[in-house]
Amino acid sequence: VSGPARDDWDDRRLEAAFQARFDRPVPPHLRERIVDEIEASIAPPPLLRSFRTITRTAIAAIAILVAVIATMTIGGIGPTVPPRPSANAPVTGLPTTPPLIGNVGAPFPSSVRPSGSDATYAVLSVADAAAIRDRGVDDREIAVAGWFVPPQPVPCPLAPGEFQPLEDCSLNTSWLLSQPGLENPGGRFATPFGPSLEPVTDWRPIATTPVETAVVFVGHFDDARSVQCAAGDHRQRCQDRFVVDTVAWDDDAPLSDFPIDAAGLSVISVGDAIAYRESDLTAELAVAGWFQAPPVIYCAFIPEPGIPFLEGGCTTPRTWFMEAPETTNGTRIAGSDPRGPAFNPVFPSVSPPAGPPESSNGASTPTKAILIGHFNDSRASLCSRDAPQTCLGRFVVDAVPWVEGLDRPLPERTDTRAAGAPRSPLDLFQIINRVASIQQVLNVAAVSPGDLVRLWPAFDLNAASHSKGDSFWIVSVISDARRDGAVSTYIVDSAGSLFEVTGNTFAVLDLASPQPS
Amino acid sequence: MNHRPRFGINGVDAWRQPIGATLDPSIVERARRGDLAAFESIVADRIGAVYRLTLAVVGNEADAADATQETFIAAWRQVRALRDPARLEAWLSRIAVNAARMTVRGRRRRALREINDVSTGGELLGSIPDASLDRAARADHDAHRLTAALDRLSPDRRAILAMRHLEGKGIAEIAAALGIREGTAKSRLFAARKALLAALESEDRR
Repeated sequence: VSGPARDDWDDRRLEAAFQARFDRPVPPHLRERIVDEIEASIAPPPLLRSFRTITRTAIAAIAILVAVIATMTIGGIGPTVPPRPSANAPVTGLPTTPPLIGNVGAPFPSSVRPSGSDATYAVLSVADAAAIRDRGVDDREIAVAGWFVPPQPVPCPLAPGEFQPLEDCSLNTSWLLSQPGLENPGGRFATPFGPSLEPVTDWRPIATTPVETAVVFVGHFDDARSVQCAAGDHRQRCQDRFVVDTVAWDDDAPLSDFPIDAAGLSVISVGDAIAYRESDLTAELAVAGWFQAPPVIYCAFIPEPGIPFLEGGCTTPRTWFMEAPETTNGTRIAGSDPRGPAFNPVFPSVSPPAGPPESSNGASTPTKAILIGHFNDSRASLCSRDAPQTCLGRFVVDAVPWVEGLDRPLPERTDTRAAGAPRSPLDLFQIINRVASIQQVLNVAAVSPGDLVRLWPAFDLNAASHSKGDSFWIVSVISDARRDGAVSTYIVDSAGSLFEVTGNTFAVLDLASPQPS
Repeated sequence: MNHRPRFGINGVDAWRQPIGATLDPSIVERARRGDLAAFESIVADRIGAVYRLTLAVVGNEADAADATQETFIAAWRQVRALRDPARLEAWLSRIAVNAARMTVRGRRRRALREINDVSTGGELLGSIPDASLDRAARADHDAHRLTAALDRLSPDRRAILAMRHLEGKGIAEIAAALGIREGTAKSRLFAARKALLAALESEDRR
């Protein structure tokens, strides 16, 4: 984050501005108005109250009568019976109807396979599902992505002629919206703006507020029981209802099988991580997903690029971290990309999760993992011509704390030099703790001068303030030193001098004094 | 829960009480059982916080009053569903944010253009160099710029920013109030903050 306004507006200043603008007194009489309104809603006039008592008695009698008649005429299907799934097969194989092609974007998956089902469904948008509904009778099982507004707990008047499973009045408060925020402010019964479906679920109204949730429902229109709705408008409305047979995906689905946090960071989905990338944020992220190692291929020789690990070789674009466990096909230089959210991770300082390489015959099996790292690495500006944008989009992995249900110990240590490291990690942490309060060490790498400049090309080994040691340690930590949540990287030379990496500059924080024990 | 010290409108440090922070759980329990007097206590205790939060989302006093009223009426209707009194804060914030969002949409639909009471004079203040302002004046000056910048953001972004910078909520509390995971709350807050800073920058260039 840069620029004059951005630098100026820190938390403290924002909070002061929010207070100055919004710390206003409550308008006079607002509290009384609210209390009056609530009292009016619960205290009907005495005459009406006695009328209601009489009416309730009459309604109860009618209800009993109707229940008896219903039992005799429709085989006893009552309001507590949940909707039945359609008996029809999934999307394939209906010659009289057009094929269904998934067309939804983030945050939804493009296809779903409900648990316990062998069928895979292309995920349709609400608008396309509405078009299917409006074309005529079509009770195929389809998957639809949208924003679900659950049924609200409203008191329903007794309506003897209505077929409750499909006509309960609380269903009229429930919607599947094409976008969030399309509810009609005219009230919970009012039709939303834009395309929408009226879902029927067998869940009781439980929501306290009409909060929208991103979901993919599998269900059908033209439920067979619609014939039990009164002919005419009632039946048409029953046929138009989208009867939900299963929830194939919801907002939390990508993270449901992963730990909630790792190394003190909240675990987020690949889709959410991409939002950071698109916002140019450099914050250190813990991302849950599925790692696909690249195919086993040899890249053609090319002159060494500016930042080798960021620009990558021919395998980097085929190294995936995906939100869903998709099967990709890799060939020598190309392949089928994931359909859902995914990015290309790079592993300059740590080992990638162990997993089988991508295959070209549709048998790739990704590995479930959590990666800690960041987008928009400062070294992207040093990438070769035309490459910086690609480099900014790489996810630079600083730690792999969890793979297939097992924790991997942090920090991960590597030593790429011929000789052993004379300094212990504890020494390094003591040196760094002089300048920052370490919350979590992600990785420690002992490198030769050559490796150091390959990783940090701007580090000038010959600068007056820089040590001319023959070995260096690079330590990546999460600390309180960075307000933007980015990882802090320190370089320690063999004499104990400490350099803090800021962008592509190296501040000398401590020149070898005093030495730790 | 951690409460964070803040600056009052006159530059005096003050402690702001978030929605539902210290209410006696027995009052909530009584309200759940339909005790209107208990619910009125909740209204009395929380109306200021709800009003401020809705004001930050809707941007003007009249709509904020309407949204506050809608919040408490909806809360009264639904209070029986609130099983854990400790969740009153998140629950009430969630209803308030929804009420404010619905108010914004209703206003948009009516196509009314409201004139914000503090938006006048912003251009004049915008020319004053920051260094020449004392603390209170600077906060007021910033408030004008903040108002203009918030106008460029969606109600959802205004809501998450207000929860963070007005109410001082942490990520976990914001996640609970919005019914989303902490990671999602964190990423949305980052995105909202970035959008706000961009809007502030854009306002500065005008």
